[in-house]
Amino acid sequence: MGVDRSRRRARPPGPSPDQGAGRVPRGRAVARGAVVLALAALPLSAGAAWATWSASQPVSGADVRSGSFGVETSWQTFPDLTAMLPGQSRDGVVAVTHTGDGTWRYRLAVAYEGTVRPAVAVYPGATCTGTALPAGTLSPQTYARGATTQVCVRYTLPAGSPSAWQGQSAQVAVTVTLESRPS
Amino acid sequence: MTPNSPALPDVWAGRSAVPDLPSRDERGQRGPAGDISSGDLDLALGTAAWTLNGTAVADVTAVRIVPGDVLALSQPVTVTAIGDSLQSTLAVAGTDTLTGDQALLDALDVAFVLDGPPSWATDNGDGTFEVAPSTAAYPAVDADVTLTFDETTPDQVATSSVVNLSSLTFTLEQHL
Repeated sequence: MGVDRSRRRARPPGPSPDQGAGRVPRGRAVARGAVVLALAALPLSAGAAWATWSASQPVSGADVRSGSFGVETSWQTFPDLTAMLPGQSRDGVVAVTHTGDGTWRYRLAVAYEGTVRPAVAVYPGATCTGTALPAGTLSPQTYARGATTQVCVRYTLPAGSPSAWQGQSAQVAVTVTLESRPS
Repeated sequence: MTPNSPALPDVWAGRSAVPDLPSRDERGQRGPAGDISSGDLDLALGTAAWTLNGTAVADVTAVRIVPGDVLALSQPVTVTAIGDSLQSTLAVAGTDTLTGDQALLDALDVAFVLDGPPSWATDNGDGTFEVAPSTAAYPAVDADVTLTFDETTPDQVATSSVVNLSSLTFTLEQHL
């Protein structure tokens, strides 16, 4: 029905019955032609609208929010690294606290600045016992949102340290990185 | 014939005497009887339920998703696709017009599946389902819309962000 009605409204291109082609200025003729084309296009768009049925329902109007993710660290036991001799080790314990959302695991990295390069080993837990966690490796355990865990860090001046390290110092930065991991 | 009507010539009288030509009423009774009925295409929703990684969620607005999470909406839908030749597709539209934080939008993958799926729905493999025509509404089936937070999202990208789902719609569309 809509198509038929539209077709009746669309007048074929060309001068209207009361207008001779020679009486219409050229520019006006072009403009009118454009109008006729626009009207002629109506049946096409109308056809697309009525050709098929459709039904829809909203899925949800909810907002979905992502969580936050952070870490706080502090020395529970600060290691005294002064006056170390080759073969000696000193331990420190770091408290690692998660802030935000989700479950997580941690990894540690070590960076040196200076001449002396003590070996650094990391152990999950409050004591430096058991199997060390290699640098850059994720902790074996997954922790809950907001949990705190302890990490023991052992600094060892190797027995075969070069004599050039005598009387020297170094800065050793241990970086704790938490990663969001499904539990 | 009224009393003052002129007498019909023989030719008229002869024509009215044809015995096998039924009157207009008689022809109507002899033709195919009955109404012509159109079909129906409709989509109705039941009560939806949210889950986070498979665990029920009471209030989805209180959820804070993190990388690796799968937030899912299970929505009972009742599909009506009545029509002898009706071909229709059930889908979720509007995934490209979600609004909110772009980083979170980039990290979210939206998928749509029908539980089962039921025998009347054929998985087209592109997140849409072809619906077979029927003579009555199908029993309700759970339609699951899942939002998966890319587990490889690095650093603190897309933290504390919001995406609005109001552009998402279940659609049932006839196609020719």
